[in-house]
Amino acid sequence: MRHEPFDEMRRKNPVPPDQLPAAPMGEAARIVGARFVMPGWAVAVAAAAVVVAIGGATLLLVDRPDSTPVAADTTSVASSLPEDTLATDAPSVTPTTVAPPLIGPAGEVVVYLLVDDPTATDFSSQALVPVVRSLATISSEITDLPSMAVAFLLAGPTPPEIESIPAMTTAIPEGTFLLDMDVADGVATIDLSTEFAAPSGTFGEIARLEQLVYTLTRFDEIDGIRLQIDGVPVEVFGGHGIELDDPVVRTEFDTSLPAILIDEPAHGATVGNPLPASGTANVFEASVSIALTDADGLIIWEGFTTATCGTGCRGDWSIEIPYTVDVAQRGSLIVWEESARDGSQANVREHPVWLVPESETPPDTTATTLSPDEYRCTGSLVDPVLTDQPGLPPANAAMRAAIFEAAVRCDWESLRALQVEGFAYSFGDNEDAVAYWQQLELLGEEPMRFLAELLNRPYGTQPGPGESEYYAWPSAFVTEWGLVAEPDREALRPLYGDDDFAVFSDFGGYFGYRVGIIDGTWVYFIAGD
Amino acid sequence: MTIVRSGARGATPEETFRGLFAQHYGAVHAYCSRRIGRDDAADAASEVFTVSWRKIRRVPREPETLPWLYGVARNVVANHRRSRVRRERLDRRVAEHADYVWREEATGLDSVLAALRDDDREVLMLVAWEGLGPEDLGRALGCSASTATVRLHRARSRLSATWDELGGPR
Repeated sequence: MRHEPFDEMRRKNPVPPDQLPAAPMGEAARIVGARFVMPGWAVAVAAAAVVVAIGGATLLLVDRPDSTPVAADTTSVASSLPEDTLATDAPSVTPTTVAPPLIGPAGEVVVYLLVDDPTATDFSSQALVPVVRSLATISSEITDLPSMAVAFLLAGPTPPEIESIPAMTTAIPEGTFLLDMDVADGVATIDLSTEFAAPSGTFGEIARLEQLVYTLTRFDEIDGIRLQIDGVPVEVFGGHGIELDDPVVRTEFDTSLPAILIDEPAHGATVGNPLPASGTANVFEASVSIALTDADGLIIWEGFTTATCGTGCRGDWSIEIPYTVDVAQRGSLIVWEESARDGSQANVREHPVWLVPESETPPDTTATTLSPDEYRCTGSLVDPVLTDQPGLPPANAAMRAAIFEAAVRCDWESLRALQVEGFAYSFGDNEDAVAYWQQLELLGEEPMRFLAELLNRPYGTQPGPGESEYYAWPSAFVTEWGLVAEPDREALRPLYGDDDFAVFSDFGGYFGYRVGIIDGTWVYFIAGD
Repeated sequence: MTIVRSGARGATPEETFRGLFAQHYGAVHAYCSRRIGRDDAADAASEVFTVSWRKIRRVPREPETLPWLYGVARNVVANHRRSRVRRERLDRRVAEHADYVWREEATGLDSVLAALRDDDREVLMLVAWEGLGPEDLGRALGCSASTATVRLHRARSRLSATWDELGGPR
């Protein structure tokens, strides 16, 4: 019988159909996140924003100030507004659109990061620390705080936290993505992408579990967690075979606990007056010494409390600290163990906190709106000279000049006034272009710089309704990428570079930021495809 | 609760992308693995999905999605081969048939495949290894099902002819 070569080929399939690899969903998350080349931190925040989008709300994370105590220049917080709790709400003329507070006095969730701490245990040189993440809503209620907390946790420390002394870190591998989470009967069943299980040292693997367990069980409705990786329940975690109880609860894990853990208030939290403080401790004779300092570093309260267990066992402690301050300010809660040997301070932990005058408890979140000049303004980086572009219809030239003028100054109200109904600025559900740009500016993007810079680039035209024509900046936008003339392409630099050009080429067209004006009306400033 | 929005508003691009990634990653990875080897397959598969994310609004719906992904993968694999050839030239180690790496150990079949034209070989592989029928083969090649059938027929003839020519085992 003739040996048919095609059948031979079928038999020699190098990868038989029943041996296909599983899809690493974290890779999918990475691809989605890498869409607009953003810093890792901003990508993570974008992931957090996806979570929040469930409730139709929008979220903004504000960078935390570093953990070093603030000097006396707190004049910018003359109001009751802590700069920690700044919200995204645009300075709107109708403040009634501001959502009510959702959690904590100032709209906060807490995540557990790691901080360098030689006192943590005999084995680990890092200690868990609860850190505040501020949030504010623009449109509607956030319904799923645990998912949001996880999203913040996966995002890791902010740049100021990474640079602070001692530095904050996370043991959760970069690129870990929240696939699903369900809370029922006190147990959070959480499904994370495979990255979460990436091998590392034993303590790294334990620490990331601890971060997750502590972050989730901080919610009253969650007592323990069930971990899944890519949808598969995990009973033994990591390369070192950490057996997980069902559910995993806090008491299973104390490897990364410092000698004294301040669980409440979290690092950077806005606190009530009096200040409720609590945590756990494993210290000599269970005695926890405590001090509270004001913005000048002066001690405004000092005392001690006793944990429920001590000298070799871990107990709970809690205390309510009365204090008096004239204006809201940043202070510090400091706890330590007094050395039995010589009375010196050992195992010191310090949490910066926002203190508020007694009469102003809790802080009013309707006041957490930044004044316009408190937003970052990348428009100011632009040379404020608009080059004349001959050939523009006078109405379009006037509009171009008005937008440019407002963009270089980040004159938010003028920018708002220049828009008409139907103005396009985002593919999302945002209702306020200015708030959206302010948010991007705070997140480290540069919409105002691009807006101003692009208006100084060549323009192109596209047919509009009737006899009208759209005038679009940059000119690269109006043709297929392959047909963009070299000078028009080169004019995009330095806003876009070779890497971006390769992406545009693959895609077939420029899809970066562009500005559109028709008949003297500003119709879009948008990026993406 | 889930992190993705669902229901009334229809799938977001992210949801669509995650869906197609979850469903087709294995097949795309295998496609790349069969052509450029396991070591480079993950990189190539990532590239395929990166392209499909950029073009997410143009990715055809099921059941045309996977053949479309194979079409993207064909280009990605071709790029990988070209860059590998360049690399190997730089290394002054230009192996014979360096661009065909599915040969983990040379067999009669491999040398026969290596001797075929690229487009014939691709048609044969898509049917023999990816298991495509005429409709999907057409989608992957960007032609009609009947054209694809004709191309398969011709490719099979040339495979047999080359087989005989090179004295493949009977």
